Amino acid sequence: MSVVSEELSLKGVVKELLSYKSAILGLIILAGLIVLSIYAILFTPFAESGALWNDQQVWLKYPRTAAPEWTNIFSGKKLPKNVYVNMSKPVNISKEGTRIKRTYISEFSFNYDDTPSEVIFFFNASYEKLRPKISILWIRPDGENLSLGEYKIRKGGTSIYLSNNLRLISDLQETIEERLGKKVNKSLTLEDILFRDFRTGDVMKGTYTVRLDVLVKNETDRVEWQGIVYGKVYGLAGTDDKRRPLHLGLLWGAPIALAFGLVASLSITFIQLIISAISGYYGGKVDSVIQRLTEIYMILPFLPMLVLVQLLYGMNLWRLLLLLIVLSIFGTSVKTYRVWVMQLKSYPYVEAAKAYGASNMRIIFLYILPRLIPPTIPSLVLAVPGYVFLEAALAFLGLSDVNIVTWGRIVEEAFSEGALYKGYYHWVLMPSLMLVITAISFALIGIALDRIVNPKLKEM
Amino acid sequence: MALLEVNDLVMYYRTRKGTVKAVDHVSFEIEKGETLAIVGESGCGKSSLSRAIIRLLPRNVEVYEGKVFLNGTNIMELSEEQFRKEIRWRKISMVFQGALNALNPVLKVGEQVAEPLIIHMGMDKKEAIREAREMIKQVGIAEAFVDRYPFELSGGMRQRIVIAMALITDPDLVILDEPTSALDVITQANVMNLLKRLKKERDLTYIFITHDIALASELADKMATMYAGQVIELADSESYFGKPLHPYTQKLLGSVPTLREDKEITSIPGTPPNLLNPPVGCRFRPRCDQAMEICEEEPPMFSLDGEHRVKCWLYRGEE
Amino acid sequence: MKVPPVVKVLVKRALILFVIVLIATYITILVANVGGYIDDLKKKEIEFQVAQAVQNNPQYKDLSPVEKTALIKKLAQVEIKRQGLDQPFIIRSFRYLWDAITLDLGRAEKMTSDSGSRSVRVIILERLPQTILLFTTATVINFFIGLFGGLSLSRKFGSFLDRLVIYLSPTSAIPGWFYGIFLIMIFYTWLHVLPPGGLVDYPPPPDPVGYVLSVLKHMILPLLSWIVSNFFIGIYSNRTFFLLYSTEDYVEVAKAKGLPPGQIERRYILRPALPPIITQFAFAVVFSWSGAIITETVFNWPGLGLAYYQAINLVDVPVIVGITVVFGYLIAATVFILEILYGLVDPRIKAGLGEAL
Repeated sequence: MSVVSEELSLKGVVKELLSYKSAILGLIILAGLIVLSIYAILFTPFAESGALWNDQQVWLKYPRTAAPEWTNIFSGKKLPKNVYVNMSKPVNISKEGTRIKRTYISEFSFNYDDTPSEVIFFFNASYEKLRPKISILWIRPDGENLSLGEYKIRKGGTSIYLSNNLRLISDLQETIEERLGKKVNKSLTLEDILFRDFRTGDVMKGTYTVRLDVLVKNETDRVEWQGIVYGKVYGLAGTDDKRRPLHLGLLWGAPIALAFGLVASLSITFIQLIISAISGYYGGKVDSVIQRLTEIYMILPFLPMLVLVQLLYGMNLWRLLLLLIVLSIFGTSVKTYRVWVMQLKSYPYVEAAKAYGASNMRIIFLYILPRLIPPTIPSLVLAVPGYVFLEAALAFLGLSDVNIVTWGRIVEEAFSEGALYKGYYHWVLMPSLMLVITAISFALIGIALDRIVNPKLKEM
Repeated sequence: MALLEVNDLVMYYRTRKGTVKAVDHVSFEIEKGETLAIVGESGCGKSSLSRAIIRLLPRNVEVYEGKVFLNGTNIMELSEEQFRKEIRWRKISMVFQGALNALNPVLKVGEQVAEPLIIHMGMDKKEAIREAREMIKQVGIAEAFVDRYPFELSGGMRQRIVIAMALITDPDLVILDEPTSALDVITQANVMNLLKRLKKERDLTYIFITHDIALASELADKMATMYAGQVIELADSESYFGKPLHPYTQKLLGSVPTLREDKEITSIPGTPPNLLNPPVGCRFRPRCDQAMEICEEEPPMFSLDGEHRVKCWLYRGEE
Repeated sequence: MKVPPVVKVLVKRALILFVIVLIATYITILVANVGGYIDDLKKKEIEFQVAQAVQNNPQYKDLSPVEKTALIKKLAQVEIKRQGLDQPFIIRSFRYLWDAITLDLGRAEKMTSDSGSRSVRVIILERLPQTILLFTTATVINFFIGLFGGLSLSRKFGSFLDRLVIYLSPTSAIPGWFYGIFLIMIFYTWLHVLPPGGLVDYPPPPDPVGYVLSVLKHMILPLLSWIVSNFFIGIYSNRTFFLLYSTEDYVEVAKAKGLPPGQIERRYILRPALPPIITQFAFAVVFSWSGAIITETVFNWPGLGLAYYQAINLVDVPVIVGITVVFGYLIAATVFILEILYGLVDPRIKAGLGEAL
C-alpha cells in the first residue's frame, strides 16, 4: 500500500481540511491558544515569569486559594471578591500627649453572602526616631464597635495579619459573648466576628467602617496604609495556595506547552525523515546500522531514561526537550518512512535525476524528502499532545523545571498540597482543562488530516 | 434456450461527485459452449458489467435492476443468501484481473482452490484437496504446489491457479475479466492456449472481457463492443471482424496493426466519456466523424439480419 | 537433524535482541555514570561490605574505633583496586555492564523490599509481578476491544456509529493516567464506590478468593483509565485498518466465490491482517511499560513503576538504574515473544524470509 504515490499539494490539503467541521473546531481552539501565547509573551512580564511565580512577595494582595469568579453562578451564593479599604485624607489631626494623632475613617460596602477569607492591613512607614503606633477600630453596619488592637510598626513595609491572631480572636469572642449574654459554642474565625450578625449568624450586608488612628512623634513621620478584605473568588481561574492568580499561570504555560509540543514533534519528525531517507536511499551497511539503532531505541526504556537524566543532572525544561528529541530520533517511525523512501527510490523521476548527474544529497533533499512530508503530517500533529502530556507527567513525578511555569507544574502543586481533599477543585481543574483543550485541538486537526492524506480511504 | 440472457441490466453507483452510470441498460445472450468477448476502452464499464452479473456490487450502489436469466431462471430475483449458495461459483465463476493479488497471501494455494468444493459441494477437506490437485495439474502446474503459498508462485502460475479455482466446481459460465492484462506476452500466450484447451475439453462457456481486441479474436465466438456503459455492437465474430458496423468498432479495428497488410493505423480522437455525465443522445457522438443531427437522440439497438446488432442511427432503415 | 527455517530465524533474532539489550544497558550505565554516580555507589558499597567484615571478624575485636576506621579504609582501597574500580572509565563501565546483565544490581541506598531486604534485585522481583499483571491485562483488554470493535465497525462504514467513533477519537489524545486522576475523583472522592489505589484492601482478606476479588476491585480504576484512553482511537484505527484490508482484491474474489461472510471476515480479512496487528500489539505493550511509572504513581499500585517513583523521590540511584535496566529486559522479552507469534502467523516468516518487527 503505497502512501506516497498521491500527489498532494499543501493548498489542496488545507482546503479539504476546512471541509471537516471537527478540524475547524480544532483550528479555532488552536488559534485561541496561539493568541493567548502571543498575548502572554507580549503583554505580560513573560521573561520573568518563572522568577515572579516563585516569589511569594509579588502576590501578597491576592486572595489565597480563591475560586474563579464565575463559580458564583453555580453555587448560588455570592462569594466575596477582594475589597480594598483605602487610605484617604485624615479626618482629624490632634495631639495626644507628645504625639500627633491622625485619625482616618474609611468606609466600604460589603454585600456578599459569605465572609471574606482574610483581613490584612499593610503599612509603609518612614520616621525619624520613634515607631508609630496604630490602633484599629472596626465598626459594623449594626453599630457594633470592635477594637482590633494596637500595633507598633517598623520602617518600610509591615503587614498585620489579623486572621491568625489567636489572641485577638479569643478576646473578641469574649467581648461578643459578654454583649450577647451567652456563650458561643463554636470557635469563631476573625471573619465570623467581623462580619456576621451575632444573633442570626448570617453575614451582614451593608456599610462597614474602619477607624484607623496613627500615632507618630514627628510631623514628618509618614505612614501609608491599606487594608484588604480578601475575597474567596478571584478572576477567571482563581488562585492557588500561594495566592498566585491561576489565569496568569495558565497564560504563561500556554506558549511553553505549544513550543514544547511543536518543537519536539517537528524536530523529531524532520530528523527521522532525514535518517530514514539516508537509510533507505543508500541501503547497504548504512541501512543496516540504522536499522540496528532503531531496534536499540525500541528496547531503551524511554521514560525511565528521561527520568534518570532529569534526576541526576538537574531539571531543565529545554534540556528535557533536547533529550526527548535525541531519545526519539531512531524511533520505529524510521522503519515506516524507510519503506516509503525505498518505494520512491525506484520512481522514474529519481532515475531521471540521477541520469542528469544530480548528487545523492540533492536527490534526497529535493526529490525524496518533499514527497515524504504530506503523509507524515497527520502523525506529526497527533504527536503534539503526547509531548505536552509527557512534560505534565514528568512534572507530576516531581521533575519539573522550577524556573518555568507549566500547566503540569500547576497540577502537580495542586496535588501535593492536597487540593482535592481541601475542595480546591479549580486548582486541579483549570490547568487540566488547558491540557485537555490543547490535546483535543491537535487531535481533531490530526485525525481530519489523517482521513485526507490516506489515499485508499479517499476512494471509499 | 440460451445459457445466459441479460435483459436491460442497469447498475449505477453514487460517488461524491454524482451518480456513475456504469452499466446502462445492457442486453445480450450467450449459448452454451459459446465465448462472448466484450471489448472496450478503460472505464467503459466492462468490469462493472462482469461484477453486475455475479452481483458483486460496490458499497455505494444506487440502482441495480434488470433481468438476468441463467438457464431460464431470473437470478436477479434470488435473495442474497440464495444467490450466494446457488449461483456464485456453482453456476457462474470468475477469473479476475491482476492475479497477483487475487490469492489470499496467508492461505495455501491448494486450500484456496479447494474452498469452493468444501463450501458449495459439501466435500470434506481431504477429498477437496485431492480434486484441487487434479485441477491444478489440468492447468499445467505441478501437483506439489498445492501446499505452497501464493508468494512462492510466479505471476503466470498464479493466474493459472486462479483459472483452476474458477473451474473446479464445473460452473455453467466463467467470466474472465482481463485475465492476461497483468502478464508478459509469452505467459499471456500460454494462458490463452490453456483457456482454449479447457474450453474445448470441457465445453465451457466464457464471457471474456478485454481491452485488447486482437486477443479477443483468438477465443471469441461472439463479440460485443462496450462504450460508456452501453453495449453498442453485438455480433458473431465473423460478422464483427468482417464487417464492423459501428463507427467506434471500425475505429477500434482500424487501430490494431496487422501482420500481413500494410494498413494505415487510425486512432480515435478525443477522450473516453465521463460516466458521471455521459453525453446526451448517442454517447459516441462527440468523437464520431459520421455524426448526424439525429445522433443527438439516443439510438435504439438496431438488429440487422436478426443477428448483427448495432446501436447507431446509421443503420436506421436496415432492419 | 534438519532445523526448520523458522527456528533458525528465531534463534538469530534472539541473539540480535540480546546484543541490543547489552547495548541498551550499556547506554543506560553510561548515562548514569557520566556524573560518576555509579562509581560513588560502588565504592560506598565496598566500604560497607568491608566494614561489615571487619566488625564481624574476631581478629579485629580489640582494635580501637580509630584503628578500625583506618583498617576499613585500607582494606576497602585494596578491594576497590581488586575489583578494578580505579581503572579508567571505559573499563569500569564494562564491569558495571557485566553486573547489570547478570542482574547483580547492588543494594538500595534507602529503600527496602517488603521482606526487609536491601537487595535491588529482590525489590525489583517483588514488584515486577504486579506491573506485569496490571499492564498486560490492560493491553490485552484494549487489544481485543480495538480488534473486535474495529472489525464490527468496519462493516458499518459511513454509518452514524462510524462517525460517532471518529468524532470521539480525540479523547484518546489524553493519556490514561490523566483520566485516572479524574476517575479517582469521581468514583472515590465523590461516589465512594471504588478504592483510590493500592493493591488490596487493608487489612487484606485472609482467604485466597477474597484476596483475589479485592485485587480485582483495585484493578478496576487503573484498567478503566487505560481502556477509556484507548477506546475510541483503538476502534477507529482498527476499523480503518480492516477497511483497507477488506478492499484487497482477494477479498473480492472470496465474495465472488460465494464464501459465507463470516468465513470471508475470518480467513480473508483477519488472517492476512494478523502480522501487522501483532506488530501493533507489540508496540502497545512496549508503550504500556513506559506509561507504567506514572500510572502506578497515580494509583499507588505497588509495581515497578511505583518503586521507580519512590526511588526518584529518595534519589536512590541503585534502584533507579536497576529498574531502568529491568525495563529494558522486559521490553526485549516482550518483543521476542511477539516475534515468535509473528513467525507462527506469517508464512513468509515461516519460510525463513524477511524480518518480523
